[in-house]
Amino acid sequence: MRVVKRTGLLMLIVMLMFISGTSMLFAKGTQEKQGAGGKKEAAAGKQVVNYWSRNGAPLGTVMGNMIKEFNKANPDVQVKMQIMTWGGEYYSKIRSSIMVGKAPEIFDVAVYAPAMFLKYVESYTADDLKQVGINTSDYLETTWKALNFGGKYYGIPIGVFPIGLFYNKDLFQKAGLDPAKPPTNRTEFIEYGKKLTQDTDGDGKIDQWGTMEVDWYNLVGWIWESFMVQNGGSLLNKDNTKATFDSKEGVEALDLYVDFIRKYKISPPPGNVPAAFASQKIAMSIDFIHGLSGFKGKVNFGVNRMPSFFNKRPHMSWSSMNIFLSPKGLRKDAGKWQATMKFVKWVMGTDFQKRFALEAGEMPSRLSAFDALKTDPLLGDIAGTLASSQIFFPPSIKDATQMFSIIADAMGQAFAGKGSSEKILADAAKRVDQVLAAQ
Amino acid sequence: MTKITKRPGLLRKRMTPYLYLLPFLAFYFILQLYPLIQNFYVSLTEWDMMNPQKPFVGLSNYKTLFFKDYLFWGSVGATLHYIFLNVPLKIIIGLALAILLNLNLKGKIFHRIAIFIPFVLNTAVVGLLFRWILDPQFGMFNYYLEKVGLAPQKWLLEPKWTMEIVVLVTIWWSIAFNTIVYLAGLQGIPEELYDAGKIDGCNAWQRFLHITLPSLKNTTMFVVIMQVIGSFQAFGNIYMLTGGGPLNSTRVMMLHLYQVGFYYFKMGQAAAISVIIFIIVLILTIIMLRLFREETA
Repeated sequence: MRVVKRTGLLMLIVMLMFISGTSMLFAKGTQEKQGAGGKKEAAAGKQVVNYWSRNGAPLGTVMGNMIKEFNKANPDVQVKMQIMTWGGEYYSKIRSSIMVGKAPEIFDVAVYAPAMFLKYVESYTADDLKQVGINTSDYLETTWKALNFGGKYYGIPIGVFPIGLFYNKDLFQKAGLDPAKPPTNRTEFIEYGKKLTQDTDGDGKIDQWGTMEVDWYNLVGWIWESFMVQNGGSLLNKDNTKATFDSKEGVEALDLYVDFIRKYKISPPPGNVPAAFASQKIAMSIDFIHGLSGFKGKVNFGVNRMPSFFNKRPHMSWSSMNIFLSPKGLRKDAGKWQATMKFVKWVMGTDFQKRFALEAGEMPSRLSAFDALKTDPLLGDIAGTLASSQIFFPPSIKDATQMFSIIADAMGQAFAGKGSSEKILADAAKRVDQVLAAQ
Repeated sequence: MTKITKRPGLLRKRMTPYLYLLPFLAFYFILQLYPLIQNFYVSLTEWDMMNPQKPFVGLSNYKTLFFKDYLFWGSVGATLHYIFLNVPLKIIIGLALAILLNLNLKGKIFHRIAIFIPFVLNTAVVGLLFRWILDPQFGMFNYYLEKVGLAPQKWLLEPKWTMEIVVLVTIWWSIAFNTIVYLAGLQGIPEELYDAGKIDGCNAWQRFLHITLPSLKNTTMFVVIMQVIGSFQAFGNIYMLTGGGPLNSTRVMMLHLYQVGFYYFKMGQAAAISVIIFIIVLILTIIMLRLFREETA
C-alpha cells in the first residue's frame, strides 16, 4: 500500500515537472521588455530610439560602431542598438514585443519578412520616403516591388547582399590559373574546380577542393534557385499562389548542383563553407558577399558575381535585403517618429551606404551609391552585378520561412541521393502549394 | 454564546493546514495549471504570436498535424527512436557505473566526481563541443582516425547513425543522474541480505539478480519514468548537435514543436503538438505505474 501511495505521489511530481516543462511556452507568449529603458537620456532631453538588429558580425558590429558616431553628431537623439540572435528566435522576439506593446522603435528584417508583419508595422508614404532622402528612381525597380503590398511600402531598404563567388587567388596561382580571371560560366567553373581539387600532400587523399556545398540547406536552396532563375525558371507563379520550381528548369538546375559532388567531384560532401574557405581547404565558395569581411587578412581572395551556370538569364543571383521596419502606432508619437526618421535618413545617406559596403560587405541599396563602388578592387564586380539588375529577391509571402524549410529538405534529399531531382522537387512543390493555399 | 465564541477557533484550526498550502497552491495554479489550460486553448486557435484575438479553429490544428504535416509522423518516429535507444542504455550504463562506484575501489571519490562533471555542463556547451569534435572536415575524431589510417566519417551528417551519436553524446553528458540515483539505491540495500546470499551459496551474478535488482525496483521505476519523460522533452542536446537533421532524422517532437511555433509562427499547431506529447506521456506513465504496481502486489 505504501508503495502505491508513494508511486501516486511520484506520478504527481513528475507530471507537474512535465507540465512546467512544456506548456509554459504557450501560456501568454513571451513577455519581452526592451533592453534599454532610456530614462536617463529622456531626462536629458534626448529622444531614445531603440533599434533591434538580427545582424551579428560583421554587419551588426560595423553598424554599432557607426551608430556611436551618429549619437555623437546628434545630441538630441540617442540610438540604442541591440543585436539579437538571428533566425526564428529573432522574429519570435519581435512578434511577442509587438503583442505586448514593447517593440523597439525600429528593427531590421530580411527581404522576405515584411509579409509576416503587415498588419503590425507602419507603412511608408511617398512623403515619408522623401523625408528620409529616398528618391525611388535611385533604386532598382525590384527593390520597391519587393516592398510594395497593396500600393503601400512596408520597409526602408538599408542594403542588399547577393550571393557571389569568392575565390582564393593564391590557390589559383598555385594551380596555374590566372587569379585576375575567376570563372564566369559553368564550363570554366567546372574546369577550374577540377584543377583546384588536389591531393597536395601526396597521401592519396584529396585535401584541397575546388568548391564545397554548404551544409546550411536554406542557402543551398537559394543557390539552387539562382541556377534555376539563370535557366529561365521561377520559384512561384506571378501571383505567388502556386509553386513552379518543379519545372524542367528547376530539375536541370538541381541536377547540375548535385553533379558538382557526384559527377565532377569538385566538392566534398556539404560542410562549413566559410571555415573551409578561410582555412584554404577550398578554392571557390558560393556564398553571401557580406562574408568577405571574415576573410580579410586571412586569405588573399577576390569576390565576383555569380558565374553563369545557365545562359537564359546570365549571372542572376538570389539576393536578400536588410530592411527597416517600425511597429504600428509609432507615428502617433511625433517625437519618437521624427527621431527614428532622422536615424533612417542618416543610414540612407551616401556616406553611410558607401562606408557600410566597404567595411561590412553589404552593398548599398541606392544605385548612385553602388555606382561609386564600381572601381573598388574587391566590390567592383559585385557592384556591377547590381547595376545591371542581375539580382532577384525571394517572393514576399507570409509563410516564407516554412517554404524555405520545405525547399531546404528537398535539397538535403537531393544531396543525399534520396531520389531523382524530378520526384524530390515535385513532392516539395506539392508541400509548398499546401502552405500557399493555407495563407 | 459559548458556541459562537468557539466557532472561530475551530474554523482557524481547520483552515490552518490549507493556509500552509496556500503559497504552493497559488504558484501551482498561476505557473502550472493555468498555463496548461491556456496551452490547450491555444491548440484550438490559429495564433501567430501577434494577434491578441487568437481566432478559434476547433480541432483544425490537430487535423493538420495528423493528415497534412509531412514532418509530424517523422518526428513521432524520431522521438520513439530516441527513447528506445536512450532509456535502456542510460538505465543499464547508469546501473553498471553505480555498481562500480559502490565497490571499495581506489580513487572512489575521484571516479564519482569524474562521472558527475559532464552533468554540470550546459547543454549548449556540450552541443557545440561535440559539433566541433565530430566535424567531418576539421573535427578531432576524424583527425585521429586519419592518423591511424582509417577513413574519416561524416558523423552528424550521416542520417543512418546520427541518432545513435546523439544518444551517445547525451549519455556521456547526463549519465551521472541515473548513476547517482542508483548509487543512493544501492547504498540503501542492507548488507545482511548479501551476507545471507553468500551463506546460501549464491554467486555474484545470482546476488545481483535476486538481491540487488529486486531491491532497486522502486529506484528503477523512478529512473524509467524520469527517463521516458525526459526523453520526450529532449530538445537542447539535439537542437545544438544536429538541429533536427540530417534529413530530419533527429527531428524529435519537441524540435518539431519548436520549429512550428517559433520559426513558422503557428503557435496553435505547436500547442497541439505539446498536448499530444502530454497525452502520450500521461498514458505511458499510467501504464508504467500499473505494471510496477502489479509486480509489487
